[in-house]
Amino acid sequence: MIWPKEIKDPLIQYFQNDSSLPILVLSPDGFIKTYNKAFEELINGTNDTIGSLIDDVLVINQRFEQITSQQGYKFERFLGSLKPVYLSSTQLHGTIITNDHLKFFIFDHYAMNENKIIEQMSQMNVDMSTLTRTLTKKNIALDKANKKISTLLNIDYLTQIYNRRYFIEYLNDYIQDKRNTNTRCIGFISADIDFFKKVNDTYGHAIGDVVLISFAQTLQKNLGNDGIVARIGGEEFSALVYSCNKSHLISLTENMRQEVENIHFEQKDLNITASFGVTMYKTQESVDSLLKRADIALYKAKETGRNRIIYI
Amino acid sequence: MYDVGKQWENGIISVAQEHLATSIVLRVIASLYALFSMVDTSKGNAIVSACVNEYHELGARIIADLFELDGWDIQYLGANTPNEELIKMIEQEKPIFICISVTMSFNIDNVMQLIKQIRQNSSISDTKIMVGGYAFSFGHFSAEQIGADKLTLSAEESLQTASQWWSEQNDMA
Repeated sequence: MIWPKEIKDPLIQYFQNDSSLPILVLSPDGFIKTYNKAFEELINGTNDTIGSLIDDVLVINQRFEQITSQQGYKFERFLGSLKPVYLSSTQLHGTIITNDHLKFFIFDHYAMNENKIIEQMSQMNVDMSTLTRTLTKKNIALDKANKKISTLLNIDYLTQIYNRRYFIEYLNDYIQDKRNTNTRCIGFISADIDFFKKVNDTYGHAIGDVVLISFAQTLQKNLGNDGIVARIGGEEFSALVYSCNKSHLISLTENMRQEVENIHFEQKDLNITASFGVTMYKTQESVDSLLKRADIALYKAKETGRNRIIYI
Repeated sequence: MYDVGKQWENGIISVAQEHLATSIVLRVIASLYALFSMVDTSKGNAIVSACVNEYHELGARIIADLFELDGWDIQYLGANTPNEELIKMIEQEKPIFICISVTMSFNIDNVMQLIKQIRQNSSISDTKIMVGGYAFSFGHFSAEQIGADKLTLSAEESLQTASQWWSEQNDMA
């Protein structure tokens, strides 16, 4: 054996065990006598090639010029590939060094053979798909959490309609969007339950809450998809009506008023009424000016006897 | 995939090429994960995994995804999951059921060993256990012999069994 198991020479030990250059050692007539670990890796360690002819292992496609050193070594560059039995078509190049007794095939450094590349690609594919699965699940969970946060932020907990924060933001955006168009078809309603404090004081907060929920549902039901309604605070509500004219707006509000008037809370034999201030958006005006006018209208509705609609 | 396996057995393709084929299928499946967002998680959580020493995970992945699309929240552990890791996960997650996939028959002993460990662990011993996979397709084993609550041989049967377990649990509650 050229490289016996117990090698003392650290240089040979290095070539045998640690070098990443695959090395084959042949007899002068082309039989493989031994090889190092890097070569074993190159052929996937599957076949015992010791004793085989080099022609059974390697196909040499091209040989380049030969140089002979003064010490009698011949150096020859080559290009070839492993035989198909190794299930690899990795192109290899290297140097054949020959003296009177031995022939060395020293392959140039290679990062990995074809099978290893495929294995790594496969593993990356598997990892990527697992990662995609995990990320998709996390994204869905995040989406759900975001929706929950958005609900907590924008929806009035008691009545389950929009809250003041969302409504004012939405109103500003909506008006900003329509401000420069010559439109007079945005309606606005301010509504307030009459004598609500009395309801709370007389029947308790639980009944007060039922009244608020019922009132909110009535406004929402009448408005449908024609606008948005919100609880502004306490017993005060507002609605933005997307596309309407004065008579449509008034008749819509009148329907709300009548329906509220007809709600009967059997538990306490209670009826309620509400007052409404109604107005239309004026081109170019600010949101504040719109809100102020609706407030004045609502105030007048209260002042003049409640349970009525005042349009300004 | 059975054809791909046969080609490897016959030396036409390498192990690496076989693995590449599997991984390509997994990538194609991954491109469908957007569908997950269209499904509401209406059922409980469950764990799907291949058993220890089982490197074939395609079947486990497909069944995990089908469970997911059926409303389950699935923790998918992939190939070659050590028993200890799986048991730890069951203790932590308290799944409604676990589903273990076995492709190679020589891994049946491993899954039996795993089930034995689960049954001996009082905190998780009543976890519902489903087993399935190519290794069981020859009809040599029953669920009782393996120690599982159910041995399934098709995706449909797996989904039905899981749904039934879900209803049973909710009826009891």
